Amino acid sequence: MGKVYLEFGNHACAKAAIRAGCRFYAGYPITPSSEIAEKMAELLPKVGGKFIQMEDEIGSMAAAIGASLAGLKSMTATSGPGFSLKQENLGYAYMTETPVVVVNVQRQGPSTGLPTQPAQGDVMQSRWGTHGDYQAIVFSPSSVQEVYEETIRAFNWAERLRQPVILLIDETIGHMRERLAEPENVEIWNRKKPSLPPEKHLAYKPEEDDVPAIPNFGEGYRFHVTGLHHGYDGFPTTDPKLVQEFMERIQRKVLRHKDELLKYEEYMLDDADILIVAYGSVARSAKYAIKEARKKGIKVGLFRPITLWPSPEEKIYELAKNMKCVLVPEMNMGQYVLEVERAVKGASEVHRINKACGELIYPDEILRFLDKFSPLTV
Amino acid sequence: MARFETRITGTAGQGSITAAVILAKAAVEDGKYATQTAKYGAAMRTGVSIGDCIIDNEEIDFPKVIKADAIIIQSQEAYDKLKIPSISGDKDILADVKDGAYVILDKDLVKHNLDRDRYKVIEVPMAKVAAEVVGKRQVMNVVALAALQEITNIVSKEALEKAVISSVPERFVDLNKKALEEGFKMAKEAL
Repeated sequence: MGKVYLEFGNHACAKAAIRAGCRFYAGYPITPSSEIAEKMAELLPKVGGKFIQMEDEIGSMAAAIGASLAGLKSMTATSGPGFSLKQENLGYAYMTETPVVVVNVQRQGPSTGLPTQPAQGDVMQSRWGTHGDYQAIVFSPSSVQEVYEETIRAFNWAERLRQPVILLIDETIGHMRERLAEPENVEIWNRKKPSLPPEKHLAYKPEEDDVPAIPNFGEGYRFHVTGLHHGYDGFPTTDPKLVQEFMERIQRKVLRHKDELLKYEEYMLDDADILIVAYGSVARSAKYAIKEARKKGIKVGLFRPITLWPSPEEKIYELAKNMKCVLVPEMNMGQYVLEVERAVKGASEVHRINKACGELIYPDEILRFLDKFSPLTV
Repeated sequence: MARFETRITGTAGQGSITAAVILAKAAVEDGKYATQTAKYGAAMRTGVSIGDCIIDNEEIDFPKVIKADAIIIQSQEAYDKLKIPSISGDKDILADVKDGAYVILDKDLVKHNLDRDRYKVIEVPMAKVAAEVVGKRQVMNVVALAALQEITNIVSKEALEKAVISSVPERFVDLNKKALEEGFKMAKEAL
């Protein structure tokens, strides 16, 4: 194990980004994400990287994409209002197959909402926020330790699949200090390079793994990048065959790795007849509540998706079909519960606890539900 | 050791949040788990700030204070006016404090009517020791931490000293070490 120390959630994100090889950050400050920008501004120049504060979130998303096309691992961080502004260019990154990590430290919305208080209201936006069809990759850490680990994982997958990866934190975790054990060794993945010389290489021609070896600008390859549908040379096309092929491929390049992408924690599920599905900071309230409930003999367990998207739908179904009921507590008015309901396919009752007032869900709020629904008390 | 929740309160500027950070650092130094959070929102209504720290031998699930095992109160304003907004209405300073908890408050600055059968009330002259014995009123929060250590032993003295040293500018290291020493002594006398 490497260094063990007390670290601030947002700073753990910045440090892990540097460790993953991030050398470009563009952003516009917004609570509760600003400490990521602050730390990146401090760390990047020390490793030869570049930090730029742009005029707004639209510009910062564009700059991060530009830097990535020029070959640098890039990121930006924001919160709800800024995440909304980034959506258009986020779509551009899916379309142009540009690796980029977008961090959203969620606060209570809609609009400017509650700048300093936590929420999980951007779960569906992270999946469907920009128009068109694409496969979002979204990781939701639950501790400062996991912020560090998931940031590195986000960069790795962004580079490998050449597309955005979203790290969905919330204010509780971003603004919390906690024990961090920096792993001694981390696996770092880099984007692949073209194997053919410039005169023979087609930038957007997919390879066997469905990912094209798009060259970095400035390395001698000339090619075209556009948000329009494009052929293998990168120039616009309306050819239905090419467009359909592209649309299927950008879904497939993610979904073929779904097993590898999915990461989750299963907690006290062996004999459980009540299943809680919770993620991010709320999963910690759920764990606390489960320990208390177990003392009373209530058989309850937790499934905590760390990868929110692609969704662990098959896993949720497998677990839910043997349960008396499923509970989804969230700091929003009911978002991931919709995905859980879809996954459960009616095999079990699905209940929800929704709190969207800037206050973390407390364990006793979950316990009250468990007391009511436990077979012990029926 | 089971989960131990500490809340540190005072008027903004008294270093309550810094003290919570130092305490959490010390716990990690001791090889324990710790979380540190600050309460926002309250400071918009009054000049009171809150630093929370949870310490446990095991990984900490819920990261915030549920019922504090110890609370430090550094000012009258904190004692009188602290209102923590919550979904079930504003809560006063003792709402999140466990029965039987240590309530450590400044002997000269905080007038109170605490039920001594309900709480372990410990009155110590933190401000006076900081200003007159150590020589700088600003180190009151470190004197308070020393008192908390002496009374609860929640972190080791060595870890606390290390955490303090790593949290202050070099020119203030000796001053803060003295604040710890005097704080330990003060608390011993009060017990």
